[in-house]
Amino acid sequence: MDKILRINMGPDGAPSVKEEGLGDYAGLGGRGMTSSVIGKEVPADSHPLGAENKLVISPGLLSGTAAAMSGRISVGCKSPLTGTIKESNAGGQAAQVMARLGYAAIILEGKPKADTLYKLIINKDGVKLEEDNSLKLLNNYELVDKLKEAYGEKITCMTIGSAGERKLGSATIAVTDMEVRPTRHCGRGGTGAVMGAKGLKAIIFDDSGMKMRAPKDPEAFKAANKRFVEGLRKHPVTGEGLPAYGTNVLTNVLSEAGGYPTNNFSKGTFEGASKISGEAQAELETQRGGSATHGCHRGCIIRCSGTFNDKNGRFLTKQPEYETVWAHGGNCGIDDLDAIAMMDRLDDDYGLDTIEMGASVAVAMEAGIAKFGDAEAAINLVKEVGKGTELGRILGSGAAVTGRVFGVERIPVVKGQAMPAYDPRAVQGIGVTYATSTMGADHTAGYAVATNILKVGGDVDPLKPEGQVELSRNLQIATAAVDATGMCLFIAFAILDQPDTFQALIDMLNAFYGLEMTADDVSELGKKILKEEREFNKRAGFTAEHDRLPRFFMTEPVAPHNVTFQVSDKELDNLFNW
Amino acid sequence: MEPFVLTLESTDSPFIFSLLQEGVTVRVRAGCSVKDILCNDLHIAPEYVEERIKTVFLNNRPVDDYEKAIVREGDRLALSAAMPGLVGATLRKGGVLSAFRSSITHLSEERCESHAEGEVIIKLFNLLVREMAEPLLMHGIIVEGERLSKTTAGDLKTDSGQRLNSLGPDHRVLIRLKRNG
Repeated sequence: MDKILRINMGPDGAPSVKEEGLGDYAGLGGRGMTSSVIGKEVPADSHPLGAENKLVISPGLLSGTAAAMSGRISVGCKSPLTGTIKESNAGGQAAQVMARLGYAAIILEGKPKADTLYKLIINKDGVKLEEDNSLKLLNNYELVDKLKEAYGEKITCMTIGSAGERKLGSATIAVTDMEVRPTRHCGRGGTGAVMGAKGLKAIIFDDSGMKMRAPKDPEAFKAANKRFVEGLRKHPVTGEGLPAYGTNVLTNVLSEAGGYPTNNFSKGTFEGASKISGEAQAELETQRGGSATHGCHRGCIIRCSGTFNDKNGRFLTKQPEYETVWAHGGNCGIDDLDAIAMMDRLDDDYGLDTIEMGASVAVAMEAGIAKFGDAEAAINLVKEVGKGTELGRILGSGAAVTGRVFGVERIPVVKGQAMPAYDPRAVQGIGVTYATSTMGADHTAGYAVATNILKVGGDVDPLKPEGQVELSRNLQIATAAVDATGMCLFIAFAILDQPDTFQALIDMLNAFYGLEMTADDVSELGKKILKEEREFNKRAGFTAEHDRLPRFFMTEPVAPHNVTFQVSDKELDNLFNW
Repeated sequence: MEPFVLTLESTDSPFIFSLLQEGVTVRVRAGCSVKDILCNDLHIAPEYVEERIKTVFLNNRPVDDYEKAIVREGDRLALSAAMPGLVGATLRKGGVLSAFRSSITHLSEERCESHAEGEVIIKLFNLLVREMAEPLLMHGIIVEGERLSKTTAGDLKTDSGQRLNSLGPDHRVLIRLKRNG
């Protein structure tokens, strides 16, 4: 991973492709790399779909190695959905394969002058960028099938569906999984629209003939990885709960807590929760010959995914995650797992963010376009996006646009990005993260990373009201650092409770790169990333006034607790003071 | 009206897991703490309660101290293992992340004096559904006849020979596990 592939789509004649050394970007990976490149090279006031914006793709620091759980790939750009800097990461095979092919980053820049569609092929023999207009408006499943026919079954793809070509704000970049299906997505912020604007339909990786990345100290690395794996396996969340039920195990719990946004954030519990819970989903998947336990990339030992078959036992989609089941389920009043799985499949196929799309449908339901609970109508609304109709383009542009077009007051977005599946009135701390994240409302921006071990910002007194802001700050710093490693964020639960497992992660990084990093260095990395992102957003015109939740969270109490969001603006403004 | 009785040979019936997830009525000493009810009424091992039951809701409120949360007649108690996600971790008992949900946290109480028998609703989630099904069924769970009939398609009979689909709206069924030996 010692080179950068820089592709300018804009020159007259044909795009230019060049390889360069890491230069100033040495030692960076994942979100550390994407945010650094965007911060340094993209004018903050540029148009997200214009020639000045760049799309940066980067595996994590440990991707392509034997390290377990190291398969996250980051994509960065200026977001067409939020106007902020954006890093969106996904599982699947791309991080491992791209890293083994030696690339720390692919940087797409410029904009093609003609309406030509390209595909990028990267293998051990080099890089080819080819025109291929036969791929126009293909959706992800058909597209990947066609690429497999042409390049074999061993490829890994990053692709956009029709939503990306139409440059919709909810458009994703799909990443193929171990079965070469386009089921993993850099979902948030419209990264697929930026890839569409660059005229690139697909990246096809083939790492045949390439070796796993070798650590500087193989013995120490192997020992640290072994301790890391043992730590993950013995923890009840990573070793039992996630493998058995996936992330959708949260549905029952969040509904019981009164923090499950239902019918477009109008209440906090959903009567149909048990019908769409992880427990019910796992049972249904098993009954139909699917699986409730499956990894999204090689080297995953948590295996929080699964396969969802239709009523006839045929593959429909991967196991929908909690946020998807919520967005297309409870948030729209829908308690039918088959309908939710169908929408997950359609989202993956068109290349749409399931959170944003579910939020858009819920806002449309609030506007009276369909009734809450009407699963068939919801499926048809998603299909409108696939057809590219005017209504579909509105819905695919995100919840904020949908709400504005249809005159809805209750629009649950921050900086234009839809909130995920946790009501910030019930769980106020996550509201702090939604409000202040550099990415717009994002539940993964401040994850449950071991801030108590990292000691970022000092210890927090949970009994103090300002504790929520301090805690959110610490979590955001720690998360930014983990996002740079290529590690799946689900390792957080084991490292939260088991200091040995956290130390094993640091030991792996040190053994691989020959470093002597400490927990302090990790938190400094997180701070550096956040600072770069924050500076970009400031230059793009974002101020403290944008670090706010929508007004209705302060004025509408949510049942069953009848609480409003109570964290003051003054406290929110303190988040980035460190 | 006393409930009909349905005695099961084992906990293997899938409808049991569905009922436990949705919530069942259990007779306990109302006015005791969560820990008292789990350990003394339902005979769950204290180590299991401490190590395995990481998330407890009493009437929708996350509980941090199982000894200072009093369960009263008609209350709803939901039990879960440790959960993923930031919010999953936030809802766990105690810990630094509990600050995130302080506005809905169950407040600790002094022990209630009355310990008369009463009915509470208990829900089990995720890993606990299968693990706690046996002790709960040994104790006995009560379900509305109509709901049980729907869940089992009405094809079971109570111990006294009543078909479930013949039960009226006010009838309830006490489901318990057959004691061996």
